[in-house]
Amino acid sequence: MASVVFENVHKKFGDLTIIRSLDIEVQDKEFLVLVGPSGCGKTTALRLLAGLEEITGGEIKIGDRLVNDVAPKDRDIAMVFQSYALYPHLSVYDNMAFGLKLRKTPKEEIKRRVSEAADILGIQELLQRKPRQLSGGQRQRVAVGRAIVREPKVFLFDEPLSNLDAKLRVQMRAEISKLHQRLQTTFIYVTHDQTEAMTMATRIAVINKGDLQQLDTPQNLYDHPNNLFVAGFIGSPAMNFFPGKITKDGSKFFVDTQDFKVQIPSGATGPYKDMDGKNVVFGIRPENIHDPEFAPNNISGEKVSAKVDVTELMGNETLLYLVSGKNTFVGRVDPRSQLRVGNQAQFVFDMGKFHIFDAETELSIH
Amino acid sequence: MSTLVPASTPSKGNPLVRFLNMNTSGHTSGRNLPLWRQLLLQIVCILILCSVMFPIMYIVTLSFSSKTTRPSSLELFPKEISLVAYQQVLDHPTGNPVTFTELLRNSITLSVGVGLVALLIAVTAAYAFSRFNFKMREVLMVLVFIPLLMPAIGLATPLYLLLNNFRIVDCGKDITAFMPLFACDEGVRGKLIFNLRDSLLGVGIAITAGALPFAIWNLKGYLDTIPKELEEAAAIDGADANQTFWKIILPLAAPQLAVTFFLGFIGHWQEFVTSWLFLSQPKDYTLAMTLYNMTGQYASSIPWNRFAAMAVIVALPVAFVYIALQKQIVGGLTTGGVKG
Amino acid sequence: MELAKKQTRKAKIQRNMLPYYYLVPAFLIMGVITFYPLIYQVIISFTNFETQHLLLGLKSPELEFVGLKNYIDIFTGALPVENFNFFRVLEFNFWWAISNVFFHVPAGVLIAVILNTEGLWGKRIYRALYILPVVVPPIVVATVWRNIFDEQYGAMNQFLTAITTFFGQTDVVRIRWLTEFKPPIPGFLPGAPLTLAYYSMMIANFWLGWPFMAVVATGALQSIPKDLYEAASIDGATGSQQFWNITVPLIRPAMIPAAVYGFTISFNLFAFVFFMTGGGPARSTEILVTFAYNLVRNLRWFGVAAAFAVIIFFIALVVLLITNRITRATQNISEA
Ligand SMILES: Nc1ncnc2c1ncn2[C@@H]1O[C@H](COP(=O)(O)OP(=O)(O)O)[C@@H](O)[C@H]1O
Ligand SMILES: [Mg+2]
Repeated sequence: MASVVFENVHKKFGDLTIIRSLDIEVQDKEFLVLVGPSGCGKTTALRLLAGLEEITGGEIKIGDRLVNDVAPKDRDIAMVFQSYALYPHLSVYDNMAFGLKLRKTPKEEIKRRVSEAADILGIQELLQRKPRQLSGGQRQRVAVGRAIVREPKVFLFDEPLSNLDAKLRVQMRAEISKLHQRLQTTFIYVTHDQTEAMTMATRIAVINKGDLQQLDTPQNLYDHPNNLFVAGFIGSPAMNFFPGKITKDGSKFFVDTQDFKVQIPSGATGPYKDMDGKNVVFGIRPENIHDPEFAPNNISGEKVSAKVDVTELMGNETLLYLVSGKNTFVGRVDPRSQLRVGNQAQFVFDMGKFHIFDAETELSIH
Repeated sequence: MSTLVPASTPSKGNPLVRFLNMNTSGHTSGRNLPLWRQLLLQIVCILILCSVMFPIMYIVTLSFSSKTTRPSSLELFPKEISLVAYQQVLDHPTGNPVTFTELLRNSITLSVGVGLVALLIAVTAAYAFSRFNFKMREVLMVLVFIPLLMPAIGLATPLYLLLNNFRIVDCGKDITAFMPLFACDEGVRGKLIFNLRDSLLGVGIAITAGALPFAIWNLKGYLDTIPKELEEAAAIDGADANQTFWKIILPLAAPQLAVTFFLGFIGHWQEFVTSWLFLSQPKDYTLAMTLYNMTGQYASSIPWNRFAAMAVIVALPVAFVYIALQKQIVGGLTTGGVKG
Repeated sequence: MELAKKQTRKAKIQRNMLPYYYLVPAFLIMGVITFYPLIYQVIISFTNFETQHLLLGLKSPELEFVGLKNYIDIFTGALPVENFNFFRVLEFNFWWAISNVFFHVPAGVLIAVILNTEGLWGKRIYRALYILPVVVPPIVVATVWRNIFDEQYGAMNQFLTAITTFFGQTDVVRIRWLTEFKPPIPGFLPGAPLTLAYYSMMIANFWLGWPFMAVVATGALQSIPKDLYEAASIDGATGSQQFWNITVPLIRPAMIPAAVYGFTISFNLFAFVFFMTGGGPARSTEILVTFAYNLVRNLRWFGVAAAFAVIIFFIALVVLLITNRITRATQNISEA
């Protein structure tokens, strides 16, 4: 149980800068997820924290302790690797007991802890097997078990679910969340899958190209993305973007994409007052685009004419791939919608839930 | 660097194993082989088989013959199973006063001893080259592998000259000299008791010198395939470098340690270049040397059935180890364990 | 704080020293029994070291430094050895290695392909038995083949006699396989006569060499996905078209390193050549390593032998650089 602090951390491999300057504060008992596209430096950040890579500059603290030069074994952390890294020559029991044995933990104590962890993970009957006799999901549990028995201050996970099939992944997601509640310890979890991040995290750090984009709760990230990258990365299907211009007509403000023009509700025009003619990106999530027939009446809607290009009927909802001039976008509409390929309609954009980003800086304007 | 020596020796095992263990059920894919083609291929295969078996059957048949004269007609299947030749070889292998047991013991001492010593020395070096990045790595690795370019005889010659200096001489008058540290008094030749060069130990040293680079190369190649995450997991679990080496790396490398040892064993078992150069006393001879002795200038006086029996005896352990080696590789951790 | 920093620095230095600790045993021992002798070898290659210097070594009063004389003598053929010409030996050595690989690789591939035929009876047995030549030690193989090619009692002549008798001839076949000096095809290799002994050795070494290539080829064949052939046959490719367009290109990356390996093995095939012919007749089948052995073991010219070993070392270095380039070049092709 400890907080973790990254302060101005940078990392180079040779001349190649992977992380420029990372500042993250992870609170005690938090479940922090580092999320970002492949190759953005998530694993590197985690390995720096674990002490598997040497830090080029800055400070990393676990609890109040500066750990820059502390060996991995003395950092009081445990890590679950993407490849699980189970010792192939040791049984499941010995895999889990390995760290405790090295620390000269009494035999009885080892037995108790391994057995307890095995109970939590439901792998009691596998204890005598070798890793190669286990399925992917079982190996995954053992890898988690190996971390649990150590009772570390911080758990590190590096894409632990990426080698599992879709169904198992969903199941393990829930189990790891439960585990976090049960252990009441700091979890730091790396993934490239935003769904995993959204479902498990207490807070999410979105990283791109080695830079922290935003660190916030899942809901805040979703509702108030700081910039274009976060807006596009979080949420599935992704937010729709339309390049356009702010225009002013008397006291009314619009976003003009040339194909269509939507009015910014009069109560929300504040930030755009001095921006007449500015190049912006207008963003709106698929679920805030409605089939005119089923649009709720309590929203301030703007009508946009578009043609249905492709439909995906999901049962509980329907995804419509829409075309309006040179813009293509996705609407997630009521399943009762009768719109089919080729139909033209006046779709309703919920203007209570829009985003506007500066086209140059890509930062959110609000 | 790893390409210093061309890859894929039969030792790499896997191809050999695959060769033997291929899926032969044939039900994976559709149509049957037409009969005429089957028969044609069978004829080809049997012809190949005959050519493969020809020298082997020839020598085996000879070894089971009781005739001490040279074979006057070609026989490829034993007409009789006579163990006379084997018995004679076991009783009295050479014209010299040396027993078969002594020859066998020398061969085993040399091949097992060198194999083990080379392994022991090589494994830590292989670990360092495989798992650490350090300043002198490239330079030292080139240095270690340079002797691979020298033929065995090229390495054996200077050792012959150098080891020849290490002698124990009885100078008479109860004085024993350990050369080159102490020599007898000037003018006293003394009686040679021991010459390191002319001993199994000396031969062992010379063979080890040649075996080390290969052992290091072979082990390094295997250690390279052990995922780095295992070491990292161990580091996080609290192991220091030595514990990682002993508890993770060594057990995982066990199959390859065995393979390297047995490959060394096979090589040293047949070794005769260095031993023939170094050794002069029949009591130190090995089985391989004896076999050579039976073919060379003395060949005409040696009954061929005895030579054949000796050839079979020398060949058997090697063939046996080859078969054992395959099992070692198949059963070992290489098949998925390390990667999984 | 200061103290802590000092400690971590000490730990860091210790961590950096670690690989060197692991290297100590090997380098200590190799220093004494490998590197020092190799240097010693270079030194005595510039001397007239012979048997009489054995006792005192470099301290012998009569030991002379003769400069490059040994090297020059070797290259110019000034050594008082019968029938010795360095460049002929070198040429033969290369020819020997190349001609071996030339036969082993295609034979190995062909047999592997045959054994890979779907539904072939007795595959397993054939595979197990074909491997036997790899399993028999070369020392035994060579001695056995030497006896097979024996002029009077060898199996080869007896075999031929059996055939000629079958066709009504009464003469006993007496081919001098290993001792006849007159080359059967004169001028086949300019500068180096290829005696009957060469062809006999080729036969014996063929027996020894192809199974290894077959093993490698089988491994490579196994890794070719079956659906490639299925796709090709749907496209209408015949068996031989499939062989040339799928099999050959796909096993090439495996076969070229194997061929290179086979080349280096044949190039230094000491035990085999030594047992079969001892380099004879009249040094026509001498290769570099057998001659080096002769220099040490029989002639006991240690200085000359050392110079010869140094020369072999550099030849091996050149061969290595060339073969390495071949292997790497083909790797790039297969990766592209
Ligand atoms: N040891 C290394 N040496 C050089 N570059 C590396 C090394 N490890 C990672 N990288 C590079 O750093 C970048 C980030 O890698 P990583 O942290 O593994 O990304 P992620 O886990 O986010 O997918 C990648 O471009 C990768 O190629
Ligand atoms: Mg990663």
